[in-house]
Amino acid sequence: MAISAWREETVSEIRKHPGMAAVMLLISLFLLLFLVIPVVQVVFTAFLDTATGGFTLLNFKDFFNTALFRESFWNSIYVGLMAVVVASLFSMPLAYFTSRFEFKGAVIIQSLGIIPLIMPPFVGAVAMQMLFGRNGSFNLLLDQWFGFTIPFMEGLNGVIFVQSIHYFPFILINLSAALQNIDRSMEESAQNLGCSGMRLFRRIVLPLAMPGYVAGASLVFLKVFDDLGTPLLLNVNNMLAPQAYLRIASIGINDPMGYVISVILVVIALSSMWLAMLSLKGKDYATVQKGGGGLAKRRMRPWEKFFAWIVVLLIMSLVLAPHIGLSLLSFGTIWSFSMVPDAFTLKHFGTIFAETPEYMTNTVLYSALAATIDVIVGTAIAYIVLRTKLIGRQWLDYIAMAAVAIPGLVIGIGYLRTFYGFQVPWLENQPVATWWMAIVVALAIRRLPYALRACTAALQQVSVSLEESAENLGAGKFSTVRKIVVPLMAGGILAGFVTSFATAAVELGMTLMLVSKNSDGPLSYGIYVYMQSAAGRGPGAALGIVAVVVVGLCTLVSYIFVDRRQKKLGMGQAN
Amino acid sequence: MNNSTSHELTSASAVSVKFEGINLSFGKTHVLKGIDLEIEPGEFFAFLGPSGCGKTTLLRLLAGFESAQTGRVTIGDKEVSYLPPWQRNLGMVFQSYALWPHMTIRKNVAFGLEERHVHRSEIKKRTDKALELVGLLDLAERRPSQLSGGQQQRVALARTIVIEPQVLLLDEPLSNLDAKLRIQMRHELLDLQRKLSITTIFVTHDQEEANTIADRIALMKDGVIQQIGTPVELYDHPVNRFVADFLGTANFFEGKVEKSTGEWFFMTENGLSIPVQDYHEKKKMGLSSLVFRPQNVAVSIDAQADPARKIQFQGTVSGKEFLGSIIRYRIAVKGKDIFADVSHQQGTRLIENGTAVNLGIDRNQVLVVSE
Repeated sequence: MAISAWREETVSEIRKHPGMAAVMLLISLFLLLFLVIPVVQVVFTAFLDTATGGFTLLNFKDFFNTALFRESFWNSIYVGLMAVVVASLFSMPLAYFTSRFEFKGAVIIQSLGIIPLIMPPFVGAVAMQMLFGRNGSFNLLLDQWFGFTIPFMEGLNGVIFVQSIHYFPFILINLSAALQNIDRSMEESAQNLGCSGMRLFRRIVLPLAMPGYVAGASLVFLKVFDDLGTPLLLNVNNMLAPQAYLRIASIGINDPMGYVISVILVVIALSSMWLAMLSLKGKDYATVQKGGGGLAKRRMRPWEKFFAWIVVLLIMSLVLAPHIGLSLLSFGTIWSFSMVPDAFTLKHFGTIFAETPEYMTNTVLYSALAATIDVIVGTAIAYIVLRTKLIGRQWLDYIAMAAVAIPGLVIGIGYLRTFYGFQVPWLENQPVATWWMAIVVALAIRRLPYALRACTAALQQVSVSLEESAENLGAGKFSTVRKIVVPLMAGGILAGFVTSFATAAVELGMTLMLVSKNSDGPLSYGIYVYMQSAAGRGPGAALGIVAVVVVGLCTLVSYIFVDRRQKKLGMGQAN
Repeated sequence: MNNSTSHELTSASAVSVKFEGINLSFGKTHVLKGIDLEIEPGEFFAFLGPSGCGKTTLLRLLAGFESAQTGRVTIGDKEVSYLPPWQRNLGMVFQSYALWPHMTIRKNVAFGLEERHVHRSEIKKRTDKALELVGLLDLAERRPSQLSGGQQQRVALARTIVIEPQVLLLDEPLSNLDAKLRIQMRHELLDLQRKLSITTIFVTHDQEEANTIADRIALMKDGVIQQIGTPVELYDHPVNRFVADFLGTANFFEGKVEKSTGEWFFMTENGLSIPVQDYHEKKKMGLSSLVFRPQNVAVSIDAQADPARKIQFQGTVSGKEFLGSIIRYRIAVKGKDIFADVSHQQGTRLIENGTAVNLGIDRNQVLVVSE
């Protein structure tokens, strides 16, 4: 009875949206082939006995019996947690200043929330070494004036330092948004009932802002824990991700340890997300009611203002350090045991444009293709989830979003495992796994969650009645999507495209696994290759500058476009 | 609106709308239960009821946005139960107006005609006419966000009537307007409907709105139509307590009808026995309510009761509200509060709380209805 009713509903939904059902099938196949199967392959191999081909836990036993792996495991956890702590130290005062006070520095703080994101940590890692390393500018200065140095960049410290500078915006943005979303009446009613000061903060403001903080913190942990590029470039190999990479790169794709580490990376990533979700369960407070939100703001007293500016400027100089260091490195001749490079030159830029222009053209090609795939698939999934009742639509969303928790490295390894045996039919001696289109697809899968969230948010803003009124006036489903839905989603789709494009352009973990020859490599790969040698640092930094400029420009242009469009449509006022 | 416009937008002939045996559920929630309803051609018809009663769902079912598990929907002589929304040719004005923010007013209004592949010069002509009809021709190149609420409302109307729909569907179209504008738009809507003589269905939760605008009303509750009739019928002859209560203010006594010495009496739970006319034994009701309106209760402080009133009982004033034209007294009658409206004349003294009063009601102003 129940089953036949269910079947009836399924059939009637498919009849209602035949086109969408077909699209859903296609997307499911795409996700299955390029996300689910490779990841399952990795997990499967981790439990595979290489000798007998049977199921075994031996590989995991080996892992935990090896001192180096145990050390790497704890190092990765330690670095992840410490990065969250340091990033919280950066973000909390900044979020507090902007939400609590009328503070002129708020604009700077907002930009501080974006600047680090346009450059992934591995790009600036070497430059940070030049500035804050044992013989870096800062320590040279300290030693000269005060006779001591600070080990910012020694071993794990370096990874923590560089990562937290880059990833603290995740906490800052989430926390600020949470604070801004607290309705003033929440605070006022507490005051009305006799609660004020720190007590008010502890009992009302903090609990209401907690979901935002936890969301940001878990994201930072995840990013740091999974990151391959930064430890690799800082030459810190006793962490999980570098170990996995080195095993596969040096021993080969049949060595089980790479897979075991991958499984551990995924499990830890998933459990940190799960823990964050668990701690937030039922606490998703949307308290803003009509009439604007945000806590009551007051003017700062002079000494408060002074203190706030000191903190903001300090954090700003740290945030800008990788950019400044990278610029110095890219324009400098020789930079060693000195405050700044000996002289300045443009030759590094000449080198990269003359010798390895393919890094740049590849990046634009790969990222643009991947981002295009992402917004098309993202829009389709968003539409299926929000506008149809097709069975399994939620799963489509979950699976696409699950890519967030899968480190790029793991996807790379999965592709090698799954597709290495297949040849591209029309190319000689070209395994599918290391063909450039595989890189594009892997990038698309990996960045799909960003585009999907942007598209979903955009579609959520389009009131269903706007579509219904079009249908009511005679427009069919397809016509409605084309003339009403997509134009109204344009801003969100573009934002999704740019986020996917910009983050794909600087993806390293996965590209390192999949790029088989230099001519197929994108920017991130090129930066890694150049940075391996002291002589390559200049050109490597120049490539880094190119990456930052490309990503920054894209972000800026799309921001201006979206902003203008929103204003033109008067969205938010009408409907 | 511009009254000098010609009547060319008038649809050729108005059609009827028929719902038969409609049942509709969302998951386990049964939203519409056995709806049978026929709306006459050219009628201005209102679906009235509290929120969650299914009135909007019924309208959306007609427009094709919901599908019922059982039942038929017929427009004119044509069954439309399985037609998609875009093939039904019904004009719906949404509660939020649903104007497309990325199109100008003209584009919004022309949309339906473009979808029908009407010739471009014809589109221009008809769009102009519709905009002129609602008095917005000079704002045609603006965007929706640059218009006031009332203007947006008119654009939504123009966009709908320009396609010459068979039936006009209005989903709480006045709820987003302020009180004064609401009354003005109510008149404009009525004028427009009369001018176009198009079958119109209006969804509202506001009984005053329904009373003033509709030819007939279907009053709904919990997915069931409680009563269908003209506003006066519903007010004067409610079939049950809910209808009486929803339209205007009403006093209720709970109790039973019993026969004593050849006459029918309503025996209230608090021990009053009130003679009732028009009661036939075959309408055996069991527990029921006696309904009467506050304006039909006469209040006097004299011991001498008004002999014209056939029903009399005593009470004590326990509260009063001065509403300008009337004073509404709250009077405790054997532990039960009833309301009595006394029209106010300049200089009249209000009766103080705690005063014992005599109440009188005409026999033909009380009604026994089911619970």
